[in-house]
Amino acid sequence: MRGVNLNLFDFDYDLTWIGFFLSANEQVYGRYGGRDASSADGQMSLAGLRHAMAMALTTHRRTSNASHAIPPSSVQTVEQYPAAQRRQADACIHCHHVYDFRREALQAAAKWHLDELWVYPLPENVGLTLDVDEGDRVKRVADNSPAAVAGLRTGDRLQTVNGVPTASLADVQYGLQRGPAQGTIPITWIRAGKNHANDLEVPSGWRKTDISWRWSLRGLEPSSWVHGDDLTAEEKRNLGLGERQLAFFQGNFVSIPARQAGIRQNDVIIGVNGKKLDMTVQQFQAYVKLNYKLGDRVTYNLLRAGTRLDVSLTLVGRPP
Amino acid sequence: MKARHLQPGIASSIALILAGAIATPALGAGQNQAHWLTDYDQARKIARATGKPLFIVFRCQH
Repeated sequence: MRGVNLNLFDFDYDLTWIGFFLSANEQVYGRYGGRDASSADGQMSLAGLRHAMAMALTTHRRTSNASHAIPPSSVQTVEQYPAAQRRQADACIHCHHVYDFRREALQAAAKWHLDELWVYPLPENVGLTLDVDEGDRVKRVADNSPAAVAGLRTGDRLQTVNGVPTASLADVQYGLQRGPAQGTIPITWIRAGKNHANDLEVPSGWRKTDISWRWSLRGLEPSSWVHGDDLTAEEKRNLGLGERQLAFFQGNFVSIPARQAGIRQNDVIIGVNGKKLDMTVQQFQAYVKLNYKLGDRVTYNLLRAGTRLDVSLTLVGRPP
Repeated sequence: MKARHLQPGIASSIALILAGAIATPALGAGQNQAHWLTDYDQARKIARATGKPLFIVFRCQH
């Protein structure tokens, strides 16, 4: 990411793949990419990319002779973050480092808050499921969702979200990203050749979703200090645990804080502070970061050779 | 996801550049090959000269 203008190439930096369509004058016509927690590429297809490309080409033909390209007025690069200066000059700076470095800068200025983590909300957060092969076509509208209340229906074709022209999931997420923490987001669409417009009324917390897949989350304190692999459904059954219930083996590398607390390899972690949680080990790592602070004392609930144990551990920080 | 799988009419209408951690060499062969560039300024010059838009891809390995 060295030298990339973040004001122009402004995207979800936890993604492993994203494409931009733009003019030589840096007018962005659209984007293609995006993912959810279930998989890195389930929201992408060649047909969907082709659809977004075709829309970008149409926009290009319509506007390429115009002189109104509006590239961002300022340039910001990842090297401008203080954290970037600590890396060797020839060391790679990956996309997710933008989030890591930005978080560190905001924390240093006492301006960081957990809400910063809820970036690039999915269309499902407002009740929309989009067609993977045609990212502007509504495949499903959730009952009583902001999209349903606004009047959207299956088969509608989105035109704009928050003023951003939409041809793909990435465009829709770009528009939603600029929405308020609570309030209204303008949306326009076409149904049977007729234009429609309304506002999505989004409640407080609408941006929240499963962010456990995000690489940038790994650098966020506190760490749980316990890591390992999920039990299989059969292994859970054999222990009398529910299929979705949290249950993972502590791996062969036991961290120092976990070891000092008495946790051993192959202990099965099934909860924290007596809470029965339905989640994977990856989601558990995010759960600890989102619900506890550095220095908190937690009690992990374990199974060791079939015996139930409780082990207390302080969520200390990582060494610098 | 490789450009050679795209409809030739689309791929050949867009100047390509690949950014990020991986530089993919030219893909495919023949008239409809997708030739990936890794120099953004060069790609903009070509786009300006040919009147084509740019398709820029960021790929990041964690």
